[in-house]
Amino acid sequence: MRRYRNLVLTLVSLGLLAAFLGWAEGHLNRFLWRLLNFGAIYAIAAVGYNLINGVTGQFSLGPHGFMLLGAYIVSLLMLPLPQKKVVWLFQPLAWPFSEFTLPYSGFILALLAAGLLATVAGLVVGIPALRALRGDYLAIATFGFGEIIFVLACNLMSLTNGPMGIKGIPQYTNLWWSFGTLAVVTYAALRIKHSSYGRALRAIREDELVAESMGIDVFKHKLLAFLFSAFCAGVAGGLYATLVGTVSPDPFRFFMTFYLLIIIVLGGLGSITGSVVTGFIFAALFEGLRFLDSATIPGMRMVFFSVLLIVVMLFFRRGLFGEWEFSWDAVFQRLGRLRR
Amino acid sequence: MRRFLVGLAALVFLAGLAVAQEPIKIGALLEFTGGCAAYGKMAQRGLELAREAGLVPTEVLGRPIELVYYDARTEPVEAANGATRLIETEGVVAIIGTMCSGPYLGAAEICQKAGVPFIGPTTTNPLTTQVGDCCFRACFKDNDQGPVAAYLAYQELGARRVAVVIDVAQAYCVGLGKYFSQAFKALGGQVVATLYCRTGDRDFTAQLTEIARVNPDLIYTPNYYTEVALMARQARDLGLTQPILGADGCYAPELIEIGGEAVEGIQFTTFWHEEAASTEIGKRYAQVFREKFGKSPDAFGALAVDCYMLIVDAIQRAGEATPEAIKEALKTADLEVVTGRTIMTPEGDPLKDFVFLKVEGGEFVFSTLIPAEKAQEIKALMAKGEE
Amino acid sequence: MLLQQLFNGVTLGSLYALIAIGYTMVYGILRLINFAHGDIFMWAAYWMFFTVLLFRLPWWAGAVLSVLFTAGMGWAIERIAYRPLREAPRISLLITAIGMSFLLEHIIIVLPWATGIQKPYPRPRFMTQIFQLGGARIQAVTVWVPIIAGACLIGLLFLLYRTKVGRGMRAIATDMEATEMMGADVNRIISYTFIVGSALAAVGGILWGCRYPALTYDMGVIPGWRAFTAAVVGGIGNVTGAMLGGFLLGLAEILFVAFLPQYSGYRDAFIFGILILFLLFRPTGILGKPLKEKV
Repeated sequence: MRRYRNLVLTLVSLGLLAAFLGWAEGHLNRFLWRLLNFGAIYAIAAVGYNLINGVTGQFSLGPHGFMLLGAYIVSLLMLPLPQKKVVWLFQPLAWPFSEFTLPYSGFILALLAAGLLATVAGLVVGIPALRALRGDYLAIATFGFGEIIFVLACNLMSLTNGPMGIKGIPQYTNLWWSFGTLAVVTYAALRIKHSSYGRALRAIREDELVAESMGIDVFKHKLLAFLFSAFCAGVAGGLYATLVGTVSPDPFRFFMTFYLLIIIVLGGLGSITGSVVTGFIFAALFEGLRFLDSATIPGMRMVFFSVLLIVVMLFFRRGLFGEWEFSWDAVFQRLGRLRR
Repeated sequence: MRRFLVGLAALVFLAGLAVAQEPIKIGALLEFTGGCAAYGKMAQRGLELAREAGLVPTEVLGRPIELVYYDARTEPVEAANGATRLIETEGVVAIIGTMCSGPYLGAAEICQKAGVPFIGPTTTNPLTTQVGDCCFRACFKDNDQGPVAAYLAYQELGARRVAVVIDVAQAYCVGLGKYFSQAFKALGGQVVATLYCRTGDRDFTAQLTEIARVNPDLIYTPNYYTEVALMARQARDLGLTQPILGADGCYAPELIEIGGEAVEGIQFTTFWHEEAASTEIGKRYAQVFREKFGKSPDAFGALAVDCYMLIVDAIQRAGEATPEAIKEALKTADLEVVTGRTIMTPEGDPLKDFVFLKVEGGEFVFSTLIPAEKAQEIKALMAKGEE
Repeated sequence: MLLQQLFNGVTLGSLYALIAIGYTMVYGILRLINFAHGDIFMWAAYWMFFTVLLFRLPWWAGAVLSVLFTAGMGWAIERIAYRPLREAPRISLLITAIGMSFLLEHIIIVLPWATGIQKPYPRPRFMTQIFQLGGARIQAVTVWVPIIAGACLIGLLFLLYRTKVGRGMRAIATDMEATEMMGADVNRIISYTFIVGSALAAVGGILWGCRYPALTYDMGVIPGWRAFTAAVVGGIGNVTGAMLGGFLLGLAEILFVAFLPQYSGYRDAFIFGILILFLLFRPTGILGKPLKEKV
């Protein structure tokens, strides 16, 4: 009975969301529309990031690298051929990308390719790093990976056009794509978290040695969480590229990971729901606080965010949601208590 | 009856006032942080000065003009976000900015889609106005600036062998370097080395070692002021004495502050200098600037003011302050602005003269001027050479 | 030219060494990678700009004040942001350090006397004089830096091995709980560690400005990471190792760029590659002692 009720509620909510998205696609102020898309994109990356950092407790500082990979592969696959001739000022675009372009119907393939490429990179980094490193050292190694990716993106001119970046990317991202991807990714993350995998991941976070001695294959679990986060980041990067229309290594430097950190810390390390919600809050704050930059001094926004992060870490370490996950049961429990 | 008529008139008058008071908003999407921060600040300074001193109108068609500033952070994504915000939330009818071509390209699509004219004061990369008919510039293009610099190097400075150092992080630098090299070779010279650096680099030992090895007559560095200043310093420290030729990216007081004696004698192309002021408004601007700041006015503020003037003039000629009308009017602009007479073409590129400045005695002084027509001559020469 | 490059390498290496020492000392006692350390280094250079160029103090006065202010900042950061989190999971500390790093950078951007624009740096005459040595033309600063760095190292070793405070630092690095139980004022010693580490980074920053006289808010990021790599290479937790690592890394960087100029764009990747290799295969570095894991 309860499960039936939950299913109906979920379907109804999704239906309402779809109706809202349909309206918003056509009628919402473009600025807010962009904001919603950015929010969804941040949320997608944050959901994956929270799984490895929050749920599994493995401190990775590399999602910006995965996002960069995703963004570039989507751009290379979907950039119209005339643009490909014009944009590569320095060296002509490498084969085979110079020869073909995917049409709109290929967008889903491009996004999957983004996730896949990021996952492969995740394997390259994750296998050595997760096997041998813990804590701070893992953080540094993943950070190093992100930086190496950045350097490669700046130097492999025939693939990436270097620091000048690629422009003229068709802007295919809309609310359907971003929210749709977010829904899929969130569902997957929640299923993982509530399964025996999720329990194993949390055990690893609490005490790795004990988990190991209980028979959990620690390395395999860490790797899976890491690959999931890489996949999410890659897809997020791809959506980012087709939202903004231009891509360059610059937005994918370390401060992108910093933003994701703010999101997952503020939302609650370990709460997938938290990451989704805070992804949007962050996007809104980021734009909304722009007035700080123009009214006072440019740069105030980042001062605010840095202070916010420090304050949250010092006083509100559990973030907004702690480890709580949204579920219909929890809502009804709360309502039940209110009624009494 | 009379009281009623007076009351009606008062009401109409007040209603008219209410409508008339609604300001016309023009966006100023400028860089206040990042590699081009110096230019954004100078642009703002110029705009504020011109408005304060009454050199440019602060209202048109009976409505006050409001400038809305946004920091483009020298980042294409930020510029795009800023443009969206300016258009959607602030409701600007036109946008002045950005100073650098990279961020401009980020925001250009947005402006084109929204039909809002977007005019760059110093965006010299040829690609910028190709995005669409809403995209304009107030300055010359790099595919003219490069050949003119090559001409100066070859004819006036007598260089035959040149080393080129390009900042690969900036589309502006890469493009200019390419155009210069092509032109220099077409004129009969040799590019003996093409070396690369990146915005933010501090150490140029690698590049300078190579330059020392090939020993050119001249070094061409179309990069931004910090990199040029640091490279010049290290070059002089290493004992390299070749003259250095730069481009408009050099034109910032930080070049001299950071470069010190090492940048003495550097020449570079730029848009304007008070000694080259050919219009009434140009001379008055220089005068007011000197009175307020005690030094020679920079070209960036001047060009920002030019953009402002072009937009206001377009509004006046079109008779309305809608983006569509302003855009159409801008295409046929022919106005005497601070930096000279600006005749706009439908592509969005005006024909402007090239001013060369030189660093002497720790100051920027006027060196020479090469008129716009010369650039076309040189390009014709290059085209002939290719046949 | 090779001689020239060697000199440059030694200078650069000494600068990295000075910063690396701060990283290694803090990591030794707190097991914290102080992300904000590179920005401390940047702040010292900016203090020079403020004191000498804005307030027009003589260079010597500016240098002394810069070291004092920077050390003070290091102390303050520890007290405000790190001490309350000493019992918290290490990830929290690391995140806070990252936040602090961004904060330090953006305060510079926001300060009207600094902002996001590049700023010049005051260089005194005795640093910029050029003279010939062998086949190389070098600036005086190239010679001063290793000398000053060496002097600092000697001073530091003296502090660590001949004073009570130094003994305390070494004790905490070995076992914090035991040291506390023995009655040592752990908080005070940790504060001293940050002060000393920040002061050394300040010296590094001041000298760096003499060599590369352009200030930007992010000038501390890359040298910070290079220095951290140096600390790891030399053996994290080991001060002499940090020095050694600094020199090795500085030389490696310069020689890499000198012999492979067409790959100079990959310089950062090269450095991070070294870091990752050491982390994976020799995390204790060249001089470090293996850290035991208690079950």
